[in-house]
Amino acid sequence: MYGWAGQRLRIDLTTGEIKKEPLSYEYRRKWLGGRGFNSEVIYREVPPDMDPFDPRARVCFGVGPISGTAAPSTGRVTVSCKSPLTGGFGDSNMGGHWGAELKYAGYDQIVIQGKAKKPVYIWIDDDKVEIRDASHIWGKFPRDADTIIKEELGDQDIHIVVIGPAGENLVRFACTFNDIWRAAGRTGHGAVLGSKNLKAIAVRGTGSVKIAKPKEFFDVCNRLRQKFKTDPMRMGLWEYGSLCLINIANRDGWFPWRNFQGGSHPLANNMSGETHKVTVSKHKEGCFSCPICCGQFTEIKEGRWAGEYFGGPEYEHSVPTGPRVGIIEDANDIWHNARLTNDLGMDGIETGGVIATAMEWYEKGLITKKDTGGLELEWGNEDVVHQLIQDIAYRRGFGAILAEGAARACDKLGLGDKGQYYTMATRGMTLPGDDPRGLGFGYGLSFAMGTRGGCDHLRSLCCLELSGFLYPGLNLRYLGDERPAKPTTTAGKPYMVYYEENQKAATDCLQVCCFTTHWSYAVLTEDQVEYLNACTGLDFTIEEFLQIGERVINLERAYWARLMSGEREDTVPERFLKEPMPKGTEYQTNVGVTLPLTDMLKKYYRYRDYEPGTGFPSERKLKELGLEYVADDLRPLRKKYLSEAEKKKKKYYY
Amino acid sequence: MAVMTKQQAKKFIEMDDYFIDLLDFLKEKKVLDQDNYRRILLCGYEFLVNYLKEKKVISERDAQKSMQEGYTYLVNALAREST
Repeated sequence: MYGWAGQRLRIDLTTGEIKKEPLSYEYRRKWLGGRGFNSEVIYREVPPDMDPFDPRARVCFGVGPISGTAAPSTGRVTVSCKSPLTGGFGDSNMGGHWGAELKYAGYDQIVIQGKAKKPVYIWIDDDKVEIRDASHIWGKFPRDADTIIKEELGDQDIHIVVIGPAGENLVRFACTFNDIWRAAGRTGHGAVLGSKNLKAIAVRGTGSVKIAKPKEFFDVCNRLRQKFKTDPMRMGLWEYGSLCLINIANRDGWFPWRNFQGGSHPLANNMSGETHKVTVSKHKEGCFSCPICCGQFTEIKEGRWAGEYFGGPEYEHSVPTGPRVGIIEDANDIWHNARLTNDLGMDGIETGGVIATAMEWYEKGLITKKDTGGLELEWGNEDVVHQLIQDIAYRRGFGAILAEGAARACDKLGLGDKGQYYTMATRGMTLPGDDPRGLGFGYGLSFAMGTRGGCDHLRSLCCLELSGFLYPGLNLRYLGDERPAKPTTTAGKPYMVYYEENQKAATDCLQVCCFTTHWSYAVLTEDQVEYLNACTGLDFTIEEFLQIGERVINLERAYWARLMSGEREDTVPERFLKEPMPKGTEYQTNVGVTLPLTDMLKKYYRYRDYEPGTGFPSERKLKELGLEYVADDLRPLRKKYLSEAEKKKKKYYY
Repeated sequence: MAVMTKQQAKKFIEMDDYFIDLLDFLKEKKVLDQDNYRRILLCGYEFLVNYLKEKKVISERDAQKSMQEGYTYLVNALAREST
């Protein structure tokens, strides 16, 4: 077998049983790997009415056929579960080296079920798998647990996925890290691992990946690496990391100021990549086989947080506990908050999002100091943000309410629809730090349709409207239309989102970094198919590759449909629909803009062949994709979704 | 023979998002069968242009210009009597 390892590792923490399950050719051809394998397992094995913290719930880690090879950026891994934050389908994706190591150990996927009686970690040493005591590292930050495990196992070169205290305390948006700083941030799978008493998964893999046509494979890899040398987007990411976006976001009005009340700020440059580089940048680091090498390391040199050192931050990691909560004057506060969410093991986006929501509730008088335990939730109050980040992770005081996520916190506080207006979430997960009134209407559409909730720049990653202008002819080639390159137009956006979503999902199944295929378009779809075929010896076509992506999206969409989530929930926070973007700076380009979602949605449904009224994938489409069993599941639910009883239910989470 | 009229071409050019409407039109005109409809929808504009060129619905030159100038050129080419 070429490319794939050909087997899944299934671990039951209740019984201690460890099984290796072969993955058939048909299965691999249909689902490819990574997100495809994971989504297939979650759909089949985690029923929609199961509590995500139920011991029977699954958490999956998946890699792809190219993982661990010399193709660009093949170290990524997808983590999937039923999300404790949204109650629906959840997954996230992280870089680093762990994914490649898992492949070298001989596995394409790990499925974890059950619950250990006490804290444990899993040690995978090629074909030897053990469940080991973790009581001595329970409560530790990921960086400390990583150090202790490496010392205990006597190998500094192993790679470890770890949860932090937030996961142990079942914070609904807790996450995992590998190589200490590489986060799979979203949807709360860190809490699912915590509910299973699973602290970490350490891997050592001494095997390799068999390549069917080595010369052809290395020729295409080398050709692509040459392309990256002059790739315009890669140059920005290399130089500044994803913080290269700060000044662009500020100019184009998608900088998330005070919970998206505004889209720009005169002091945004304080936290730009350019400023970070000359003030606090310590060194750079790349993921496995990556030619972009966007990873930045930060050391705070002065002020109250002097001496703090950590990996990151990314754009999406720093804006939530920075400008989104009104902090911009002292960038060291922003770096510190990012470090803190990392060490505590929480999704930075959701952490900042829920604090920003609470600040707006406070500003609007919906909550008072009585509700917050005396905390004055004023915009820009770093003392409060620093306190709340920790209170959330340890479920203390008001933090215990916020640890439930903004939508549930709103219900616990009895704030009703008025409070939900400020949660800036879709299907229970808050949107990332990109205002679609500036970043692009395509992004806005993809936020509404994302199959993991408040999605999200990594679901469709509509980069044809963000960075497409850097690649002349690309929009014409895929879409036949240059108009979508303009962010604040609806022209061509429904097809653009459909195309990019499929492409992105297929990329996630291949398990390569989407920065090589979106943002940077150095690697095009035909290049992916070329190296896939050279690696596996198979004959995928572009159509088959993209259809795998389409299949995965429809499966994930069907998971939501089984929760009675469909057309009515395909929306974005009302602020984007109703509130014209106010003027911030003199040079802001999107003043007065709102997101015109409705017409784009109708057209998008046609591309997806979603049933009008329910928004469920049509039977015809499901059969076309080989998902007859999914069509059977949805058949009795279509009428139910349209019933008066269902129409009356307002679902902010599931 | 032209696949569409000039008025139809103008309508496509004025559309906000044209692609699926154009594919539906071409399927109705039996220029596209279901398999190619599905393939082109997934794979994008370049696949449509190449298909139309292979089927000699448009000329090699029109195919080149359609890739350089986009769908407005393509629909005008489809509205022209073929030579």
